[in-house]
Amino acid sequence: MSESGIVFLFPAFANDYKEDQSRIIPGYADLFKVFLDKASDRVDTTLSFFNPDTHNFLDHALFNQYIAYIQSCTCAYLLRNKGLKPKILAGYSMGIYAALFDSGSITFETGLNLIQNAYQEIRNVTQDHDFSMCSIIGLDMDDIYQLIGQTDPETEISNQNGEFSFVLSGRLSSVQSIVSKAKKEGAIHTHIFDVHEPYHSGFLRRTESGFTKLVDQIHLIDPETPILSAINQRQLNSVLQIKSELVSNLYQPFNWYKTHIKLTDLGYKIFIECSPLSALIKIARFIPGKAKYFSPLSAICSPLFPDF
Amino acid sequence: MARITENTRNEVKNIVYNFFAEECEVDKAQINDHANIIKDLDGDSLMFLELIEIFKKKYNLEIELKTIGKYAVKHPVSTIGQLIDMQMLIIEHENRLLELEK
Repeated sequence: MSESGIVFLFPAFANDYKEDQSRIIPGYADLFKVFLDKASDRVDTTLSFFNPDTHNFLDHALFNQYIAYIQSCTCAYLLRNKGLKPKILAGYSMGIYAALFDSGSITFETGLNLIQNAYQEIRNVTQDHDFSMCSIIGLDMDDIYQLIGQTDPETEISNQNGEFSFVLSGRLSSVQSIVSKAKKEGAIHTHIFDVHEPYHSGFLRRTESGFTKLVDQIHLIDPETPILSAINQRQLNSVLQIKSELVSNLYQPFNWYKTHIKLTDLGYKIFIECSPLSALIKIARFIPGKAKYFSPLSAICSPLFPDF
Repeated sequence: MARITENTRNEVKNIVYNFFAEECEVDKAQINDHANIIKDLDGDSLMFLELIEIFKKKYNLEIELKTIGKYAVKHPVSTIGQLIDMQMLIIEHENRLLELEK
C-alpha cells in the first residue's frame, strides 16, 4: 500500500485516557506544549494547567474540546513532519476543526476561535434546558426509532457508528428513559454522556444564524487535502463547502459508519487516528471491512511506512 | 444447533483468555475463570461485544445482538468463567438462545 491511500481521522473529545500514548509518541510532548501555550494565550490561560497525567478538564465540555483539538493538531503535525501525507481527511463531530487545520484551510488559532464560538452559540440556545446524549450498542436502527417513537419523538439519532451502534441527542429525561428501555430490549452497551448539549440535533438549529455570521467573518482558504463530510459523505474542496459544513455540523446528524464505508469504497485502506487516545480506532472495531487502523505511534512503528 | 465438544470449550477459553490478556494488557497467567472482568481486569461491555463479533465470525453464528442482550439481562456476566459459559451457549443455540428460558 502506498502513502497515497492514507486517511487521517480526527476525534472530537478526549474522553478515555486508558490507552494514552502521549508519553511515548516521539516528539509529542514538546510539540503539544507549544500548541497548548499558544491556545492558553489565545483563548483561556486556564488551559496551561492541563495535566497530561491527571487528565483534568475531562468533565469540562469546552476545555475538553480544546484539548482534543490540540492533541489532534499535534499528532497531525508530527505525522506530516515525518513525511506522511494523507490523501483525504475526516473529522468525527467537532473533530472537523482539527481536520480543517491539517488541511491548511484554517490556522491553529482560527480553529480555537471556531471551537470557542460554536460552544458559546450552543450554550446560548441550550442554557435553560436539560439536554444530554447517549450511546446504545446492540440494537438496530428500527429498534432505536421504535424506542424514540415510544418515548419522545424529538429525540434524534445524532450519529451512527456501526450497524448496531448509535448515538442519540435529546432532552435529558428522554435520553434516560430511552436508555432504560434499550437495556430491556437487549442493548449490550448503553452509556449516557456527561454532556449537557444535544450535539448534531435539531435542538441546536437556532445556532445557525449566529454561527453563520462568525463563519462568514473568519479567514478560510481552500483545503490542500480534501475532507470527507461526515454529514453527507461528500468531499469538501472549497471554502463555500467548508462554511456550509461548519454551520450545519452543529445541528445536523452525522454518520461515521457511512463515512467509513464511503472511504473504503473510494479505495482507502489505511486510517491513522490523529490522537494519542485511540477513541476512533475503538469505534472502528465494529465496522466491517479490511481497512487497517493506526495510532500515531503504531504508524511510526509500522513497516508499512518505511520512511519513518 | 452446533455440536459442542471439549475441544470447542478449550478453543473458546483460549480465545477469551488471549483476548483479555491483550485488551487489558495483563499477563495471561493472571487470568482465571474467577477473575471479575470489570473489577480485576478493568474490562468493559464493549469488549464483550467485540468478543461476540469474533465468535460470530469464527463459528459462522446466526444470532442477533439483542438476543444475546436480552439473555444477558437475566443472566448477567461478571467473571471470565461466566463469559465462557455464555459464549458456549451462544455457539450451541445461536438465535434459539432465549428458548432456554422457556
